[in-house]
Amino acid sequence: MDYLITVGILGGINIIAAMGLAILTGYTGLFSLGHAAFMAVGGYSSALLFMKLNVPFILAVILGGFIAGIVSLFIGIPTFRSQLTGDYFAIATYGFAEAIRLILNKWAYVGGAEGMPGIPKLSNVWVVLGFTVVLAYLANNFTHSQHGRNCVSIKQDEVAAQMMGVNVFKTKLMSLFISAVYCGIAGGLMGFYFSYLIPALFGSGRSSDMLASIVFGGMESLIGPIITSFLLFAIPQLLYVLDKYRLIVYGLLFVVMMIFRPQGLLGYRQMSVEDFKRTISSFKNRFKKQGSAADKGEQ
Amino acid sequence: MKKLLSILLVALLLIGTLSGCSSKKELKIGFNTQLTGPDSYIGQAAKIALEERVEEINKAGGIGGYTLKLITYDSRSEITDAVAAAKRLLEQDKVHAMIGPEWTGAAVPIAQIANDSKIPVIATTASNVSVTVDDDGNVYPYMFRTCFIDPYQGYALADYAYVDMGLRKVASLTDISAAYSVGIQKYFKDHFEELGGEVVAEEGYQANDQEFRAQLSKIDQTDAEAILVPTPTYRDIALIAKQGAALNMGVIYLGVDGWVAEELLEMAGPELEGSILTSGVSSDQPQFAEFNKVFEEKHGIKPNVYAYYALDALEMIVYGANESLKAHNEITAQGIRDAIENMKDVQLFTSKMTMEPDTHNPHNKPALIIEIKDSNWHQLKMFEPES
Repeated sequence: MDYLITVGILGGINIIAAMGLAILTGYTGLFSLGHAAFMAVGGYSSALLFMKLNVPFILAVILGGFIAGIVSLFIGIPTFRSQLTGDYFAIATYGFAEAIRLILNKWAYVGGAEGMPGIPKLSNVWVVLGFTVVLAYLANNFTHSQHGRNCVSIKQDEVAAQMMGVNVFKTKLMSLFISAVYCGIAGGLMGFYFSYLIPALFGSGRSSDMLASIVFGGMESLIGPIITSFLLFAIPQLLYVLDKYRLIVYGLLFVVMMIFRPQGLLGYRQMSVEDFKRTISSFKNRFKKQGSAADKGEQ
Repeated sequence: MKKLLSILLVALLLIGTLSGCSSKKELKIGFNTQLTGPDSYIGQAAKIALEERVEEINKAGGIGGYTLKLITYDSRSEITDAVAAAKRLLEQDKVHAMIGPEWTGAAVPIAQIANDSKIPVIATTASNVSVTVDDDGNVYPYMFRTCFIDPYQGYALADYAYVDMGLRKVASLTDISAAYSVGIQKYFKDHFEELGGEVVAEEGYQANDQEFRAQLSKIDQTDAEAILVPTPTYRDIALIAKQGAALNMGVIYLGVDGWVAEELLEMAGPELEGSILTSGVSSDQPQFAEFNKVFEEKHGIKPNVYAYYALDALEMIVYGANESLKAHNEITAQGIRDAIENMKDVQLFTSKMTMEPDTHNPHNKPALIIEIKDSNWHQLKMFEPES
C-alpha cells in the first residue's frame, strides 16, 4: 500500500508539472526542452525558504513556484522579444536549463553536485492531492478564460492573433510564467518528498519526459497530459515484472501509441460531464447490440 | 487488431499488480541496481553473481530452513526510479534487507526510506559521507555500505601521489555534476596541499560530456605532472585519455575506483600506461582468479568489482540472518540490522569486514594502489589506514 502511495505521490508531482507544460506547449504551441530547470528552481528555493527563513511548508512551496515563475521571465522576455519560436525557442530553453543546472552544481551554499540533504519529509499524499486538484481547477479555468483562448489563437496563427488585437508578447510571457509556477510547485513538492535535492534530479531527461507526456496526452487538452504524465511514471513501475524487457515494452508502448493515435491519447478533447455520459451510453448501445445479436443466435 | 493489442497491454499491466504473493519461509533480499542504459555494466554482472550465490546457498539447504529469494529491480540510473524501486522492495515486497543502490545521489534519499520502513539497506559503491550519516553526524540506523568513503580515497591517493610518486604539481579534471567526483577532488586537494603539493589547475565537465580537449589544452599549458580524474565511470577517463594522447600531452593520470572496468583497458589501455588509481578491490587479485575464470566460462561476461561488492553485501545479509536466527530463532529485518551493525572480522567475499557502529562504514578497509601497465591492472601497494 505504501508503495502505491509512492507511485501516487510521484505521479501527482508529474501531473502538476505536466499541467504547467500543457499550458505552454499544448495551448500556446511553444515547445520547451528545459522545464526541469523550473522544477529545480522551485525545489531549491522552497527548501531554502523553509530551512533558512522558517517559512511554513505550504507557503514555501507556493512561493518556490512563484520564484520559478519570476526566473522564467529571464528567459521569456529576451526570447519572446526577439520572436524566437518553434525549434529556436526549444533550444533556448534547453540551454537555459543546462545553465541553471550548472549553477546549482557549482553553488556550494546549496551543496553543489553533492546535493542538499536534510530537507524534512513533509509532502504526503494529501498535500500532493490537494495541490493537484486546486492547480487542475485553476488550469482548467485558465484554458477556458479569454487568456487561454488568446494562447490557442497564438498557437494557430500568430499573425492573425496579432491582427485581432491579441498582445502576443504578453500572452506568451503569461503562459510561460504560469507553466514555470506549476513546475516550480512540482519541484518543491518533490524536494520535500525525497528530503534531498541534487541537480542530477533535474536533468534533460526529465524535461523531455514532460514534453513526451504532453505530446502523448494530446495537444490542447488538459486531461490528456494529466492522464499520460501519470501513466508514463506508473507504467514502468508496473512493468517491473518483465525484468530486463521492461524498457523495451515501455518503448514499444510509445511506438504503438504514436502509430494508432498520432494526435495523442485524447487529441483535442477536453474532459467534461457530457463526455462521460456519451461514453457510457455508447457502451450501453454496444452491449444492447451484442445482446440482441446473441439472442438471435440462440433462436 | 487494435482491440487485441489493448487487451494484451491491459493484461500485461495486471500481471504487474499480482506479483509478489507467497507464504513460504523465505529470506527475501532486494537488489536495487542499474541494468539498463549506459551504466548497465554496473548491475548486470552483479545480478548474475548474486543469483548464482543465492542458488548455491539454497541448494545447500538455505539458512536454518529459510530459502533465499532475490528480487531485482532496475533503476536505469535515475534517482526517481531508484527511490520508487526501493519503496517497492521495502514496502510492498517486504524484503528482509536490500542491496544497492550503487551511487550517492540515490542512496541519500533511500537512507530515509530505510529508516521509515526499518529494513536494513546496504549500499554498495555509494561512497559520499552523507549516505550513512546526516548533517549533524548522526548515523542513519538502517543504512550501511560495503565500500570505503570518498575522503579516505582522496586521502590515500594524495598520500601516494606525494610521498611515493614524488609528485608536487597536479591538475584536476572533475565531473562537477557527480557528488562522488567532486567529493574526492576536494579531499585529494586538501591532503595534497597539506603535504606541500600544489593543485595547479582545476577543470570540470558534466556527466555524459564527450569532448574534453578544451580542458585538457588548458591543463597542458600549466606545468602539471599528473592529472587527477576522479570519474564515476570508465567512459569518461577512456575518452579523456584518448583525447589527451591526441594532444600529445604525455602526462599520467591519477584515478579512482570509478575507473575500474575491464572495458577501460580495452578502450584506452595504451593511453593510460603508467597511470595510478586507488580501489577497494581489483579483479586481478589472486584470490579472485578462480572465481573469475569459472564465472566467465559459465556466463560469457567478466565479473567486475561491482559484482564483488554486491556479493559482499549478500554475505553481510547472510551473516546477519544467521545471527538473527541464533538470537531470536527467526530471521527478522531488525535482527539482521543489529548483527550487521556489530559485525567484527567477518569473512565476506572480498575481505574481512568490521562495521563501525557510529558511522556504518567498513572499518579500516584497505585501499589498493593499482598501476595500469601493459593494458592490465597491477597492484603496487596496499594502503592501510593509520587510525
